[in-house]
Amino acid sequence: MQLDAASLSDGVVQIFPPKTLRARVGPGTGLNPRLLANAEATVNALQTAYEQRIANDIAALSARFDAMRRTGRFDHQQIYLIAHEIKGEGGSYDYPLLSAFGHALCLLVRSRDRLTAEDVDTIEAHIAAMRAVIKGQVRGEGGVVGRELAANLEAMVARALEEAPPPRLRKRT
Amino acid sequence: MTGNEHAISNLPDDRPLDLSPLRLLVVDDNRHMRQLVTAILDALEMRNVHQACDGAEACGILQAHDVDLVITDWLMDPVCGIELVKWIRTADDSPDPFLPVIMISSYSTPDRVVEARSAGINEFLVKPLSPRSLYQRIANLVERPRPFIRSKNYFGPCRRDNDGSGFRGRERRGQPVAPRAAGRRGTA
Repeated sequence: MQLDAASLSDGVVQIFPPKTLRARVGPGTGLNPRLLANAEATVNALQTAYEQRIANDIAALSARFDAMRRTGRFDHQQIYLIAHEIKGEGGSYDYPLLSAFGHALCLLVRSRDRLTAEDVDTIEAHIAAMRAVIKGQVRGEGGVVGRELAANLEAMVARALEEAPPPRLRKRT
Repeated sequence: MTGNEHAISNLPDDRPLDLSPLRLLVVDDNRHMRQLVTAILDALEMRNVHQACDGAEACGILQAHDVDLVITDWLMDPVCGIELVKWIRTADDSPDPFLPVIMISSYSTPDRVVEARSAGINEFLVKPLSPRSLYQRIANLVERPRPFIRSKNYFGPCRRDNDGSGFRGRERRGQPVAPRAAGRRGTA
């Protein structure tokens, strides 16, 4: 294929792509206000469904973690998967605190195959914070209280990750 | 011109863009995020949408189907969004190294944006995702396409301001980029 290109300087070539989106889309300019309103209404409708669904996810996370504590069998994959789901979309529905807490839980859980007492406290604190955020519909950064809560939880996870992993995780040399 | 492409000449230009002919690929490991993006695209009348849950699945779809635009998340296992973009731009078996890519990510720090740009993305969108921002980015790709740059260390869309007017620093390539003029392009 011959490309539409021009040399800018030594070793630097500017190329105009052979196919353009304009060629597929045709004429027209700017956004369509009617379609944009449709899309915004769609996201608003999904927001309500999201709040219900995420409340269920957090309840499931809490129930599974309680069960693990009772039985002493820690299944990090179960917690990781739920935390990852919570992390992935919180921000897109204006709940960035949930994304931040979910991310922190993912980091912690991924680094462990068994929990210390401090890890248990850290996970419980994150689940409680998630529950509070969704119950209070705390959107955005949550003001001063939200920022302080996020900073405290972040510090808990940072401390946990800095500490040496439990003995079973140490590499054999 | 293929049968799906419009004849540009005889239609009025003052109506809004009709993006419905576009064929898209949405890549995200979170199914709810894929649903959110596809719901927004559907409301914007872009309904020819493939979905993939990571970069590896996306590569397979791109090799099997014609796609005009990729919208991808960054953080995915086993193949992340950055690796997907590098594959599109540089792999021998890439179906189209010029394929436009919009990256959507929670990462918003400047070094992350630079990393994504260096991989060869066209547009970067920080979560939370809004319909307007996604719609505007796609419209930008149609209305203000960037030329590609091939240099020793980079292949991808030009990372400068589109018309060059926003750049106030030293010209590291030794000469300013002239605004693009129809019919005056050089040919290699």
